[in-house]
Amino acid sequence: MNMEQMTIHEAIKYGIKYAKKQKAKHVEGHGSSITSVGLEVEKGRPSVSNGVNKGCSFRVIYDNNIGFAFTTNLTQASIEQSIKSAIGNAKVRGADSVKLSFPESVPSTNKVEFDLSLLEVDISDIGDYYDQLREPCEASSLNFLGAQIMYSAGDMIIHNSSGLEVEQKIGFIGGGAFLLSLKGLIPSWGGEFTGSRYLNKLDWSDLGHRCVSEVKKVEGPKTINYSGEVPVIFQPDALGGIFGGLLTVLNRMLRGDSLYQKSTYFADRIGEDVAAADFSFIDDGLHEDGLLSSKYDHEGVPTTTLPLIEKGVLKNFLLDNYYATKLETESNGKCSRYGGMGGFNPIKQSPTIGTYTSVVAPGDSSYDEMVQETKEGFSINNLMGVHMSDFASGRFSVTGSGHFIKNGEIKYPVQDIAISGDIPSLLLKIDMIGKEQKIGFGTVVPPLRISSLSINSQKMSMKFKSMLIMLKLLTTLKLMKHPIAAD
Amino acid sequence: VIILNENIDKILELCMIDGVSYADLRIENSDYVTISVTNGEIKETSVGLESGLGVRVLKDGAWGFAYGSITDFEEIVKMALSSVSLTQRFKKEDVSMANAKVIEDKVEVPFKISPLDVSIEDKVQMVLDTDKAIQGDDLIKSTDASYRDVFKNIQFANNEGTRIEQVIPYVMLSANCTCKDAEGGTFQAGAKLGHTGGFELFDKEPAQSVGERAKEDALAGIKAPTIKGGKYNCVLDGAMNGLFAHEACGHSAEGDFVRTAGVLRGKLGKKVAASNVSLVDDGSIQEIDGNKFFGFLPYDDEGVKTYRTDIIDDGVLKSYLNDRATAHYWEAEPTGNARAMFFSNQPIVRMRNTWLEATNDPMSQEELIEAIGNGLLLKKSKGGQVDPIRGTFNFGTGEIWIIENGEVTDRKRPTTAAGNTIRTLKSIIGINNKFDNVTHAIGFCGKGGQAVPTSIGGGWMAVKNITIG
Repeated sequence: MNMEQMTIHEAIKYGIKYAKKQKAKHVEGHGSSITSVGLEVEKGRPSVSNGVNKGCSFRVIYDNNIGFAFTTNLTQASIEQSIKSAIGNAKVRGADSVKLSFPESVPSTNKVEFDLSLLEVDISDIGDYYDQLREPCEASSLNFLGAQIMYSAGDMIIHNSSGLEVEQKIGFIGGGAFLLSLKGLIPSWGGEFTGSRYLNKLDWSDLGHRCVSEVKKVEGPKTINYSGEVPVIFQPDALGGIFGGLLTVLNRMLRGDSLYQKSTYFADRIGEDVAAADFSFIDDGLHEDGLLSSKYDHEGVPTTTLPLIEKGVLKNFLLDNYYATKLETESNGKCSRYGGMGGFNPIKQSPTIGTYTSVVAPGDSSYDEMVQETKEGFSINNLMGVHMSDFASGRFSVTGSGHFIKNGEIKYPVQDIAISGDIPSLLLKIDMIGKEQKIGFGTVVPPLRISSLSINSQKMSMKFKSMLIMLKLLTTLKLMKHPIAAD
Repeated sequence: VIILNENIDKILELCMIDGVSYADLRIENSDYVTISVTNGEIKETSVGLESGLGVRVLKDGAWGFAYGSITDFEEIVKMALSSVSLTQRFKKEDVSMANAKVIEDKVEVPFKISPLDVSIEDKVQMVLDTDKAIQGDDLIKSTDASYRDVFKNIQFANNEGTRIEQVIPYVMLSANCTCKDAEGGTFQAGAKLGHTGGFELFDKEPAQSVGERAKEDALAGIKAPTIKGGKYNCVLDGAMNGLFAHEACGHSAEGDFVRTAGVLRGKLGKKVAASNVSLVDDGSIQEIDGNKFFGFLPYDDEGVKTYRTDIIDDGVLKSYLNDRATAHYWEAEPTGNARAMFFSNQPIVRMRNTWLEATNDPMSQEELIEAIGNGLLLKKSKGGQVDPIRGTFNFGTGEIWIIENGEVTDRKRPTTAAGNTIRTLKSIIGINNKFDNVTHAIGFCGKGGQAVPTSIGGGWMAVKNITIG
């Protein structure tokens, strides 16, 4: 037995050949080699990570069912073991109810460029980007907590026994910073994260300035007693920020597997009015500013710009080849190998349905107009607890922070605002859509105003407030340092 | 791929160039199995073998780290050493490490039935049976069951002479049930079972009962009326205790985070919770009442033996959770909390098994209900999110019951519970020290892009003023 490590190409070709020899009906080999560098600096304490994730995974169709296996060890023995395991996994499932195959080769006419300069990024460049990002943060009056730069680039190869051979470069660079403000009684913090597939599209200094500006907007938040159904403006980060916004719930409800299992409210509602008439929601695998945009999805099907909801009407669900076959239709190029226990290492994740870039089409209202049209309500910047939502009904109960609006004016920043509702009702209650989209991590969305949502919040107790007043006094008089953050 | 000691020595020798004061490596060989079934159909059967090497160096007071395939070890060492140029550039002070004992050990977490010895056919049948156990009611519209096992082999070595090999198996099963009522309203409920150990997990509780638990909660939840949002005095069950202890309190006590910010910063030796409240994080506790924890870890990923850390004792903050570097900064002992998700991640400060307990005189569950008088009983955590700087949290609940005149009465539809960490710690009325079944309270804690297995089980406790809905 040859114990030498194969190249990824060799491993894929050998695996496909070996699987056919083992009587697999169809076989697909996927391999990737991705170099990543991460720099994180918290309060002058840097940590760095630098490495290569390399490996192969195989899907086989045997007895008309699919089995999957992966290995990061590219010896002949490991590849053969992976194929045997994948066949074993397929056998144990028994025959599927529909005839299965892997995608046929379809040349992509998609125009998605890969920025080759990404491959030239080295460690000292990462340091330069960090310098540009931190300078505005350190120059501000705020407490600079830390910043992060993430870089990832490499090759993804997909071959299958139907003759499909897709090889594409993937990669992006991104980063962001967090700052803390001690203005007012309650400390507030925040920041910005952004990324791009194009090195020269990122202005690190501008990002630093935006991080400062975002935190300054919410300095000195209050807690208030409030209970009622009022208009709520969701800012882009509350809809789809790096920590997940309400659109992640909608995406989960529009997955083809949820449709097949009829586990989503939207099952059997294609063609129905499910949102306000001017609301359009798209998953775009080709978006110029999409971090994951590529010519092909992760099983070699050309990616698409897919309207999910168009002018309020439900048009499509996200589909990969498997669920498209189950639903007797065609894949719309939404297969992904990111997520699950594999995180951002595509080798370990069995292919599944995923999103590329979630886009909400711009409307015709400015943010200022949305505020002016709100007699009393809230503008919400970010949310906590979205991942605990009910992905069947779309019901959510989250905690947010943002601003209180009265008589068409932003009054003051607020926090600990409990917001509850459900996505189907929320979509129908969108009454204003912002005209300026914000490019986030996997999202391009404008602010949305919802005509009414249930809000609950409580003011902090007098005892707690007295403690904060005392603390403020002592720190203002420089009798003590604020305990919440390092210098 | 087990690397021989002489090769480990060779890799570490390559690291020890001028200026390098410390080097360690982790070699991982892990087997993974994932099976998922939806509505009676097998959705995924996958297996995998992951192996690799992570190398960390401390050079001139700055960290370098790199990872890759074991066979590329020379290149990995070069990358780790070259990455120091980046950390050197931005460090404000030198990193120093607290001393740790030099240990040579080979430890296998005890298990009766290796998951590697159970056939994929048997595992698939078990997941099918779990899914089937959820079915059988007109209100049920969708079911799913997922199984995962990980058989982890980790070798750790450092230039100080520590050589540890650990074999750690994890086995876990989850079930989810979605119900739909006549009005079109839907409700989802789930149940989990897992531990650090072998397939004997299912000898104690059959897999089907996980499905039955999910079914029971979903059917009860869809029929239960919603609750009016607002502030309530509450009794939290063991899973909710563990969730609050972990998310709201534990993260704020992590020695790396607290160097930057957080509500427990600068509060060592100060009263941060009600009297008689203790917060514990313990990686060394293997089981309680015959149920094995999910966060059991003989040694952490810096080769430090794990033990029990009393973070808060009788309401007073006593200790942060530390790796060797944060221990040096805080002039404390390493607490065995350095953990990495994979060989490709750097160890960072993480929790293991975390809970709140009564320092003395625990109250019984009945006494806690009586003490609340009128309020809510919150059971079965559904995950959560915390803002450790603002000190706020938002948790999902699996069951909500009304407490009226010291009696548990009607069931309500579960929703979220939110609050402020310090205010909640100071509002604890009492705690029961008898653990609920810890194999039901398992989770993966996310931090810095890494998810590691943790247990969030504990005893019941009574708290004032939790915001519901």
